[in-house]
Amino acid sequence: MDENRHARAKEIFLEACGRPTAERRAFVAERCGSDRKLLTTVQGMLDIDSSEEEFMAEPVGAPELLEPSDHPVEIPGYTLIQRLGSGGMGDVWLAEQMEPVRREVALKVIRRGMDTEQVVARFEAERQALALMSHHNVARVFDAGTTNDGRPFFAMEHVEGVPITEYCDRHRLTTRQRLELLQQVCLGVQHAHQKGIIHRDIKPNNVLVQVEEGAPVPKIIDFGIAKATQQRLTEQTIQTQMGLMIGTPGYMSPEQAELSTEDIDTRTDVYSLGVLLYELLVGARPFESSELQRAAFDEIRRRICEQEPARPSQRVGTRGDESTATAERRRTDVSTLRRQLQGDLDWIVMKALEKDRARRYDSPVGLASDIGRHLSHVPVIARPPSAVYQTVKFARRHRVGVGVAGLLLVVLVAFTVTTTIQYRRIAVEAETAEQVIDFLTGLFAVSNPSQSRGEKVKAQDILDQGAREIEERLTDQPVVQARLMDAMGGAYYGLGLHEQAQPLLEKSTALWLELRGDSHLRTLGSRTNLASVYLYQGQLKRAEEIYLESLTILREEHGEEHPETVRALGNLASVYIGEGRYDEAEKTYLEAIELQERVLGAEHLNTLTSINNLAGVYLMQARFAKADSLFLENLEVLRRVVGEDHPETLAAMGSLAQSSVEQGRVEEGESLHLEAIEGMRRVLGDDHLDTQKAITNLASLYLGQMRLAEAEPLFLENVESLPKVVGEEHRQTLTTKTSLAYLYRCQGRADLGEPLARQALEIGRRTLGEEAPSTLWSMTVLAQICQVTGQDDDADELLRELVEIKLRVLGAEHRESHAALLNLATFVASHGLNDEAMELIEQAIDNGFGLADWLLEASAFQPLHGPEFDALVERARENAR
Amino acid sequence: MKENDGVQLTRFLNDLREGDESASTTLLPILVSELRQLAKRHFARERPENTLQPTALVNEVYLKLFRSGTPDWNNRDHFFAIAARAMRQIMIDQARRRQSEKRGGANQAVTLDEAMAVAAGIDLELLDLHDGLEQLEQLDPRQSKIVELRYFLGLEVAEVATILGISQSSVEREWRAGRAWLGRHLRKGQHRG
Repeated sequence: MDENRHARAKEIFLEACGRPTAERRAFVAERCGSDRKLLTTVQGMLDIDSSEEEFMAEPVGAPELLEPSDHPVEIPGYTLIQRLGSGGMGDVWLAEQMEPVRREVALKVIRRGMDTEQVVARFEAERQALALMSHHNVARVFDAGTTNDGRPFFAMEHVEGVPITEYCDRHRLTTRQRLELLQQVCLGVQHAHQKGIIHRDIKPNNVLVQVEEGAPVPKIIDFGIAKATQQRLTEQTIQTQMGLMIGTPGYMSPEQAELSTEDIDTRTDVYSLGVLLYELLVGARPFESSELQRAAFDEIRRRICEQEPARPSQRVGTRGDESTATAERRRTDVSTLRRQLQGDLDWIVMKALEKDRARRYDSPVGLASDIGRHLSHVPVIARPPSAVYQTVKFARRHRVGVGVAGLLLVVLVAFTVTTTIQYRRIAVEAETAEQVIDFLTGLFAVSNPSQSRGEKVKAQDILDQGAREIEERLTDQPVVQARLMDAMGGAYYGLGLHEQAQPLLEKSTALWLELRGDSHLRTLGSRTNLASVYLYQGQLKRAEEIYLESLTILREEHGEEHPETVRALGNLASVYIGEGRYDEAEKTYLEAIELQERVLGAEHLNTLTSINNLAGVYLMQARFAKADSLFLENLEVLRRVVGEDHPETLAAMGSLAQSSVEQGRVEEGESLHLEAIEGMRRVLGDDHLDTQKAITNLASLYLGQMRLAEAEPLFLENVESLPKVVGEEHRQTLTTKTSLAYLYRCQGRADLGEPLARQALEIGRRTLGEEAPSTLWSMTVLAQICQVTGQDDDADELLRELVEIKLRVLGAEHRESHAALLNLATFVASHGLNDEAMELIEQAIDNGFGLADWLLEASAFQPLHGPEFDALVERARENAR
Repeated sequence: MKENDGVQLTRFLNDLREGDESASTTLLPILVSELRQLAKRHFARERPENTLQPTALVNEVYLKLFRSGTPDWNNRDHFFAIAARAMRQIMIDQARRRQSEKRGGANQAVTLDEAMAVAAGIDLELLDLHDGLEQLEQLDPRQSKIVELRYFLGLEVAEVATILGISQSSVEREWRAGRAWLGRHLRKGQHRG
């Protein structure tokens, strides 16, 4: 931003401030005009200005001027020996206590400005209880009071140790040894709970390991201090809005993150113990702390309260080089470590980390005992897991690139994978002799992005104006009118404005039919264009009818090799793709390409488009190698022939990206997608079907990898833009709406997703029918949402319906049918219907299902385990071979 | 600092008024050191309830430095402008130091402040704010000066108006806009982070 822009922002901001609040937004929008950056700036400034939290309301305080070391400390009854550390909260001193006994203590002196009296008063209230604590694993708190200059201090047992995580890593403790240490920690916390004291801030730095007689002993420090100091700070935090939350976000329980200080009980500590356990096992916290540190308050809170962390066994394998180091620090390798964590330990950790504390262990000792059961190979309590966890977990395991799970992912989100199949672009014909028409046609053609390359796409205004004039003024010149309507329809089409293109082309088609009859090239060309619009709008049957009819006439009247015939053939193939009739699409494309190469040449744009589409067909048929080489080759030719920024080149890039993703080359795919989207935004604009489809594909990729925060804005853009581009009832709109619902469900915001999924399903059933892929996708997602939200009847009905439809439409051997059977099996198994679950699994295996490991891992199937189940797993393994 | 240095300081301030910017380079470290010493002494003898306002602190430093010189209200205005900068520098330095201590791992054995991450949070905000102010300085020097005087010195609108020789309503407008601009700047940074 330069000075002028800043001055302008200031001017508009201040003017807006002078107006009533309700009018400001509109005022700013008007003043900023098309300058979006300026608009964002000013709007952001107004948001701050009108925010309830008064930013910078108070000047920084003079106490901030002081370093902790500036305070000379004198504390009656203690001799300070040395400073052990200092920080924002205050200093810690090693000191010698004289009374009642002579001993070394750690003195924590709280910094000024932390509201002395209240802190001390609160601490006093707890002091009685603290004095009662006496446990091997709890560092004792001896005393509290104020220093000579009025600052509160706490005196506690001096522990000579290092944080538990550091100790374990430094000594390369095995998983078992780590678990045994944590058990001791649990017992210490349990002791405090029995005395009525909650720690509230358990984390490695508060659990130090001290070596006593050669054995490591964990000691919990700082009991009661959090409570004494926190409340006031928490209020302050909310008020100042600048600060981070109290406590260390990485270890904070959901109820703490909600800031419900009144509502914290012993299970809060259980949660933090769960985080500690997680970190000891995996070497990372459930939520990355660096992200939390910098995230906005609401985002931190949302994640802690809603986001389901990855299971330990899953997390441990996904950290690259870190994973190897982590395993080494546990004297093992990554795959062994993962196996150690799978099952029991996953469940134990996840139970301690339940968002709803009623589902957690009810006490630290409960956690310790379950760890004990695991260590002595007795079945743990943590199984079976809660329904919520199961379903979330189901989604979680479907990460691209994580073993077998990748395959099922495709089953779940395959319907969002829409390859950017290119439909034929309408060539704007300017072959006419009449100069006026030439001129106008040329003018309009500029707004077709194929020619403007994003430089002047603001042509819609001109078009709208022109469309009205053509309709009103040229009624006495029907030929000119029809020709202009064709040109304008093509221009709208090029801009992706199909709703506007449709009436124009319908009119021109009717005009040509009347003027020239049904076999004239004008009539046929115009009709083919109209059909392309229908195709884009998803009205496949209408498009197919027109193409077939035109093809017959074209072949008879104009011959096999006429360009129009070839064009119609290619478009017909596109319809087949849309309808999922890939074999017919392939055959038709092969025929079209052969003709195009002969008639138009191998490097003609239409030929290249057809080749791209054929590659898309191979992609849909999962014939990846073929798809890849075609895409690559074609992309190269396109770059050379029409250039980097041509819509066709960009589309080919998007297709190649999708192909890479489908074959597991995710990073390559991602960067290609990003490149293609960037180009499409520039050349085609944001509100264009191709742009939006490419965005859907990238979002689906992120969704598959559970990169939800990245997927969310993309799907939101889809849901906002697509209704404008293709209408509310288009399958693309419905699909992305459903995908957004699925994403919300994965984020634990099922309530947000439910109305979206229900709406999409309702529209889908009505307009596309229950067999349409997008309708099935809506059903799948809604079924999952119903499971999470406890609407079991709805879930049951949907899951059964899915099985019925998929078996009927796709056949029992299709992998989507397998997924439907297993989804239902998971559901019934979690309701104790083991026999039915076994039957469903068997049915899937009978029909070729081969993901044996998935069956073994699936939590819902744990109760089924036994010889019969093992036999099924074995059969699945054979299927895979 | 010796008593008769007040004369010298007055000269610096005069130079500054004449447009010699190098004078502020000389003055700044002197002020930083004086402010810190005074604050330290103040806290050593006062009860914490008597919170010391930065304004009072700066006034005190001013009186001390110019006891033997010729107090000149014009110079006093310049003095405040530099004092605000000095105050800001002190706070930023401390925030940075605390941040690096956190990272560099002060004594591990007894932990201090992670539980009370508020202070650290404020430090981060302060550093971001500092960063924002630097940008603002490029775009709108006067606005950034006003923010500095208001926020780091705690001066009232009227005082700022006198110091900068502009109307109160201008100060109010600039303050409001500057505050909003910085708030937005910080929020934007959060999203990026």
